[in-house]
Amino acid sequence: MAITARNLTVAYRDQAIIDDLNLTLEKKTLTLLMGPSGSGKSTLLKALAGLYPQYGGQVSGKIEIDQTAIATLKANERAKRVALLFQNPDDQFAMPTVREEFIFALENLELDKDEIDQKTAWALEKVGLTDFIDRSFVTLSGGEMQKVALAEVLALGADYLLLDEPFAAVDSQSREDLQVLLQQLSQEGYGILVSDHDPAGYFDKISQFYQLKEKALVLVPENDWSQYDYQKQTVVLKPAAESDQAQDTAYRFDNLRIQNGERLVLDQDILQIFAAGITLLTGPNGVGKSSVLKTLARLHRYEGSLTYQEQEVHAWKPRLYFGQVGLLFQSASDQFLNITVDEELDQVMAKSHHADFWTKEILDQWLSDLHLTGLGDQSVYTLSGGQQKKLQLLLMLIMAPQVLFLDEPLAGLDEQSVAVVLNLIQTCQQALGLTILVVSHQTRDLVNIVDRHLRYEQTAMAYQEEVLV
Amino acid sequence: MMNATQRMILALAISLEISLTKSVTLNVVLFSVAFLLLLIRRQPLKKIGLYVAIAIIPVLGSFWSFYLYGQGTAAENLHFGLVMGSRVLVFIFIGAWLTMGMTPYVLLASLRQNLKMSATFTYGILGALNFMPRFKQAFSSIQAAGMMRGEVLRWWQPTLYFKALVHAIKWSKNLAMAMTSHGFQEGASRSAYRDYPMAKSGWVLIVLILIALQVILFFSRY
Repeated sequence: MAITARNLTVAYRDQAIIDDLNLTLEKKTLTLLMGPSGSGKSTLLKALAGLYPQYGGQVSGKIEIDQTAIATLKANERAKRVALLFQNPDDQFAMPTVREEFIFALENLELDKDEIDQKTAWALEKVGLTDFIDRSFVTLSGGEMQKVALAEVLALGADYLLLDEPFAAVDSQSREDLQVLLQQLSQEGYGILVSDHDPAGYFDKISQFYQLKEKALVLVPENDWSQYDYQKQTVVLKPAAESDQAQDTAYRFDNLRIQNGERLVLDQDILQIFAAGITLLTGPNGVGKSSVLKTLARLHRYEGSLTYQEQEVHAWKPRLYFGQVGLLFQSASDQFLNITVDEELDQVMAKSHHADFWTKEILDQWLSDLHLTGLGDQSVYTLSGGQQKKLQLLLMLIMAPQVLFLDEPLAGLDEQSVAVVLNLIQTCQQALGLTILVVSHQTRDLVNIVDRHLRYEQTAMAYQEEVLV
Repeated sequence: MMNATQRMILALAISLEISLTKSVTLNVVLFSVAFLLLLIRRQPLKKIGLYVAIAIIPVLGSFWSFYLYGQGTAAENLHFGLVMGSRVLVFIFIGAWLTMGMTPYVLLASLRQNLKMSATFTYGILGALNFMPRFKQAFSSIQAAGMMRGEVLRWWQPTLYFKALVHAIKWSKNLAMAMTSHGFQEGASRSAYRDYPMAKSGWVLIVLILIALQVILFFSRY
């Protein structure tokens, strides 16, 4: 009794994302799948859940679930055996309330009213959310939504649960609760596969550990797990040479409160963000880093006071504000305005705040270092994830606004690209005196170029010289 | 009495009737009844006020244009202006009566059950309604992305809609995947948690109301 993948290859537009991969996922196991973002974890999970080729992607090889080829099963038969939990909790519910969502899913299995009520109650109790049955999804936190999503697939009766980075928008307490819950479920007989880029909290709970590397799976022997469960090292930043320049303030926080949905994610007394230099913002998953960046970029409501250049952020005229401040969105496609790579580059070259720095020669040099040459006529939406990220970053650094917020600028990049991108960020910052605030999980790479470090715990941020890498 | 589907059928029948007739009397009666029903069923006054506010411009607009620019005599123009103005008013208040105490979910679910409307269509519409609040957010984020690049995207510029479309496609694909993963398949049979039966008394009521309309029309002099 298992899900097995034999010689599985999944490709998009003839580019293999995973290649000739073999995997067996048995019941009563908890498997962790790690790999950098963009390595194909989502693709593998979606393939195992039987969503390809219906939702794009060319699939070859075999996927069987308890000896039945998954491709031959109808959607409602599949849902009784295998379920996928998605990365973005917002996107996975078709209905506005918990009860309606369960009714929708269980109607697909052609159950009658009594069975639906009974399964709904059973599943919600299992995740400890019995009281949530009439809640509407907009009032739930990321962690609660993932628990409801988990209950939903339990109600559907799936024996194999696939979770795709389920903790991306979940605070650390909920993350621990969910990890314990997953362990319990696996002990009860469920076969569970979780993909994550962060190994914290898994190693005393899992039974198998795979790394997704170069389009294939590598089984990590139990003796080597401790290497991944690395005790994070501490790097101490060189104290900023305060004497050479007076530290100007770009932003000032005063009793700033930020809500994400119903949850208060930041409650900050007094804090300043210094002008010029690179500040790294770190904190546990789901603590609210993206909400803070959005607030700084005038895209999220706040209470209290947040000033940029001594003027309240919401009092700035948007046009003037965004003439000085830019945000590198987490999703690259949100940054694009035109269709082709050349159109995008021409646009920023024409509008750059530092056109004197960005000559044609310098642009060509960076394009070649980033391996983006020869893509001129290609649509930005058909580039690979890594190419999109590099292009996105290049566009914003050519624009070179005075202040630039970077939300996970290294996500999905290979090692060689990371080195070039870091060099690009540092070069532009130094040459143009930009103020950069960067949020990233990849602290080990970034620590060499940052000047300051802000640590964000619970609902407040503070400067620290030590960075965990 | 009437369920959601029957109310929808009655609303369509009344709309058709007043589109084909020119009786100010009938329109006024219909408007008054709909308005009274809203009051009796204790709809918030703010909501009723909103319906009136929505009605003002189209009602006055159609009245004035037929009254001032009609081709007939002054009396004919006044009559026709009043017909057109009151007709718009009835459309809006019949719509208000139809949606009174009813969620889009109930209307779509009963249409699906009673009239065999496709489940894909029903859940597609519901999904789109759930996306609405996020669209507002997406629009301001697209405009900000534009301004960060030195471009001010106004509502008439296609880039804005192109980007909104990119968002919508991404969301709908994610939602469709989640629905499939939760066992939904186009055309597959599903069970129904709730029944939305069309009661005989509802049909009787519809017929009686339609007869009453003919009677009013028959006696109507203006």
